[in-house]
Amino acid sequence: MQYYEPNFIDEALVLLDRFGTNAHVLAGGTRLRFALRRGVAADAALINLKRIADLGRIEDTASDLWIGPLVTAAALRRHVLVGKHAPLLATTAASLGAAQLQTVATIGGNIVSADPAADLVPALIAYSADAEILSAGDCARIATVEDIVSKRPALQGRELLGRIRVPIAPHRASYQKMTTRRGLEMALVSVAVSCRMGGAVVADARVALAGAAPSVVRARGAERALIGSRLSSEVAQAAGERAAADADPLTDARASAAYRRALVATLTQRAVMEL
Amino acid sequence: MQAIKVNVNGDVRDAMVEPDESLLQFVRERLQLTGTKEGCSTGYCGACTVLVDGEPVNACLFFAVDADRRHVTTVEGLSGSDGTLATLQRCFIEAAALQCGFCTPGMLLAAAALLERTPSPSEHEVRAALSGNICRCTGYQPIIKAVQSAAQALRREGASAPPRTPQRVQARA
Repeated sequence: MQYYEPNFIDEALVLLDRFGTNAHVLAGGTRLRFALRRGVAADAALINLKRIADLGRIEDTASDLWIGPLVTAAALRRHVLVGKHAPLLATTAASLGAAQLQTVATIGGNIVSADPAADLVPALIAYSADAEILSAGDCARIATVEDIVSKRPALQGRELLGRIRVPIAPHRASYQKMTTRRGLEMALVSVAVSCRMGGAVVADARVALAGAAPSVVRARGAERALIGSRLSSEVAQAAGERAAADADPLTDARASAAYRRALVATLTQRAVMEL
Repeated sequence: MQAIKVNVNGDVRDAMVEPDESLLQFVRERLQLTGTKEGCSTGYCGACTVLVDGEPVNACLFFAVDADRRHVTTVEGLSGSDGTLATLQRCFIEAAALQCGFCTPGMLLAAAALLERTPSPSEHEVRAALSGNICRCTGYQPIIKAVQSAAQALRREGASAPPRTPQRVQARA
């Protein structure tokens, strides 16, 4: 296997273009290790992004928080700008695996892996986040995080995830995650809710569900139940019922579809009550 | 093969590694530091926990090439060069916080990272910090007690001398 440590984004994109599907991109590497264990082609290339400083920064402008794809869950937990502009991301990062995983797992990896129960993606979708998708010779294209994770695979072979953009706006947000035990587990179901208020009325709302469909999705029915309402226990219950109707959960070894759908209703209701 | 330079327990080691070699393979097989254990190999059990620049990682999931120009602490680096045990290790023995001992190196390093950042952890903080380390023998209670008594002892020692925990890395080498 060939090994590269490009110093600049353009260099990485040229390598991706050259090796195509034989290129393996290394960020935190917690998922890549499993993929490599299944064996790799002799002409495969491992492209380690760690030297590209532009991909590891957290910065804010007047309107947006920009997060590099190499930013780790541990950094999201502790970074002052994340706490200030996108506190739900810090909360969800703290529930991603254990400390050992948070040290290395990256936000870019969490998006690109497109796991239906991903820990960081629901908060990003609730915040209406989008991200740059880079490829050699082309201008960066912007896609919403919801669209990126809905594709299999999330990116084409020659594409690289660039910076993630979270709009900055006054908001209320909350997160609920159900696991079989408290530590270390991926969500059976999790729900992230973000609302912009106009006085006492919800002016805009985003509800994102993980573990409730083949990818992390918005619950648009639940959003409609919230927009224009004054938050109350009745509104929370209605949002929960609509979210359960929006869900399309799977049965697997960890939980049945029926249980997951019931969880979506309960967790959405709790999340709205917490706003 | 890729050349790396890693500071392991205070010694700078130059080595050639495979691009897909894990840090666990590197410390156990190339450096013969077998205190670090391989449990599940999937990042769940925490037996292989080591510190990279003072932060805990699962060595089974960590790429050896990513340790280049960084500081790695394994369980061998907790005790003194003359074999004197660290306060944390003594507290594990005193609290009978181990039976078979297989999870102990990982428990010690996860706990050391916690105490470095949080000298007076609550019981909840201890449990959260050790949630990535699985033990099949003890039922966890003695381990949690050991970490709490180590925190107390280190605070007492801190009043007179610097605590014996892994060196905090100021900057990447």
